[in-house]
Amino acid sequence: MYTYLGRRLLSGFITLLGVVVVVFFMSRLTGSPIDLFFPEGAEPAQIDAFNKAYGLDKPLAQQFGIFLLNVGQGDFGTSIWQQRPAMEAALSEMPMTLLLAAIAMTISILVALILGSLAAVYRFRAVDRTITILSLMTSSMPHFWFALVGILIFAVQLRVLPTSGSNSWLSWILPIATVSIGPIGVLTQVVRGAMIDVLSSGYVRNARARGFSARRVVYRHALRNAALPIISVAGDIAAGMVNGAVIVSVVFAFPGIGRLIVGAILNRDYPVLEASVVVVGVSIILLNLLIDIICSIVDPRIRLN
Amino acid sequence: MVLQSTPIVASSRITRWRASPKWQMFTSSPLAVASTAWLIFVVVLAFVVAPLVVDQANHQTIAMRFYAPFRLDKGFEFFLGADSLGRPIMLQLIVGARTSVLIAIFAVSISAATGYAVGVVSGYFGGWVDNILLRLADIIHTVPSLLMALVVLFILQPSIFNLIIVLGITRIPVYLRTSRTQTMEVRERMFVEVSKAIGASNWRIITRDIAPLVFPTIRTLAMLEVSAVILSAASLTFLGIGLQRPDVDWGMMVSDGRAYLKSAWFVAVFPGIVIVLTALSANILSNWLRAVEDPAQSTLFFRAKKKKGAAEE
Repeated sequence: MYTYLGRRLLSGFITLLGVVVVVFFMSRLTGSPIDLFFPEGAEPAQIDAFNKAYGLDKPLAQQFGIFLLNVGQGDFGTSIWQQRPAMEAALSEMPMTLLLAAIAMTISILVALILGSLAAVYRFRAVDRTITILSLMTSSMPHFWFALVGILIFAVQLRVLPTSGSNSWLSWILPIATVSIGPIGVLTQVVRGAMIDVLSSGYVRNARARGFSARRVVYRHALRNAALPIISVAGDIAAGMVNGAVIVSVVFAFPGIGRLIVGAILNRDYPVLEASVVVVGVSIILLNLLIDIICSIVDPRIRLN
Repeated sequence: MVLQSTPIVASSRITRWRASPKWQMFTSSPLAVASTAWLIFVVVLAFVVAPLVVDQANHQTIAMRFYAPFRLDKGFEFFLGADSLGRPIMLQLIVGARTSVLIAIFAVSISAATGYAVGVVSGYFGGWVDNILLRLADIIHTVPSLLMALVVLFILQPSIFNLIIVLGITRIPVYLRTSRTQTMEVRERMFVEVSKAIGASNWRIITRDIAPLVFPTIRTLAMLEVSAVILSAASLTFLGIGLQRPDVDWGMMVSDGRAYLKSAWFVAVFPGIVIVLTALSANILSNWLRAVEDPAQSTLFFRAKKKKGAAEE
């Protein structure tokens, strides 16, 4: 177990290094913040001072070296746009996104388990067909459009939910629905597929032959064995929730890392962009590690690979 | 009925060499037929109708601002209403279809072809090149796709071409991982061993023995990715990144309508419906392909059909 864990940790660390390198060069390519912060024909001395203050006057390779050194110490520099440490800005926005993702993930997994198992048990019948079509539909719906239609129906027409913000629990409903609608569809499909595989296997037939109730067979014997593909897809989906968080921050003005990233791109705020992508990257790498550990507990054969 | 359908079930294991059973499976699934019809309809609109109406679509008539839909008194092109600048929404949708279809076709082809080829070769040879490629795919995979595209498109000029390149590259890992994993599995099988024993070159083994076996998975995946790419492209243009007027696509139209949600709902709603229908069709087709490709599932599927048919008689 520990060698397996060590190997996963090492490979996660290498991936993280790669992300840091990619992030640095990508953000340096987005153009210079000079154009954004100074009017045309600004004092050259002023621009020089700005460049010096943020280390933009040095050659790219040297900037990269300094960047790596600082990142090693957890220092991403000061935000050009918000005048506070970039890492602090990223870390202060992260809990909101994590909370949103955690709630959305819990809802998606629960709904998908129920619907997917139903579809698998009643496969190729009306229940299955309805669930399959519905799940295909929700996974074909663009986040942003679902959010707008939600606003249109519940905020503009019925006036029961607010259009934006995060003050009351009511304002969480639409963002959570927006982020979970796609995952529900995709996960339901996966649960259905995995359950169909498992239900037609020998040990399920054996359990039935021993006279266990259908409910017990589905929940105790089948679901546990179908868990592996479901867990690994759920991990991918949880990682992709950042995409939903970006849309939610734009449509609902919902706080979180999405809002910070969009703002950082529009303001050419390198330090914040780098810090937030690295924070997102670390979260996803940790998540993948967690998923690997769970999978190896569910199916110990994986550790031997 | 029962007598007729028995041979279909029996032959479903050897469908690979016979066209007709597959065709029969296709026509017996109304959803698959409807999805194909819709996709063909969109492609025809995009490449045949769109060039004819592009001028009319971008013609602004301020008097027609927010003209409500489902009325024919101003002509057929205003049947779905007009947007904030008095452009007919129906024609805008048709011109937008061209952008979305172009992006979907080219981005998916680029990523599928690259991922398939690189995945098979790297899975076959293994070694340090394979390790580096896998690591690269991991890195691309770790940065969420929308974020990656957002950053890259912010640097590049907004254009359909750049959208295609960005979406094409960011989706490569999906295919690379799949084809690599499957290649590693196929590589160990007996017939590859046999090919090696009779002196086939690596190139021959890859192209004749391995690639054809990996292809069906890639095809199904690509169909699924059509829907994913359409959704990603629309998300990007909705965020105002990647495309600029006079180019238009469905995501941009939704974004245009967002400000007028209260007064003119249809400006944002119609393009969304078209996105959902198109992505859904691709999804349904991919689902159907998977059911047909997988012998275990397809036997089950058609046995169930047969039972149902027998019950109805």
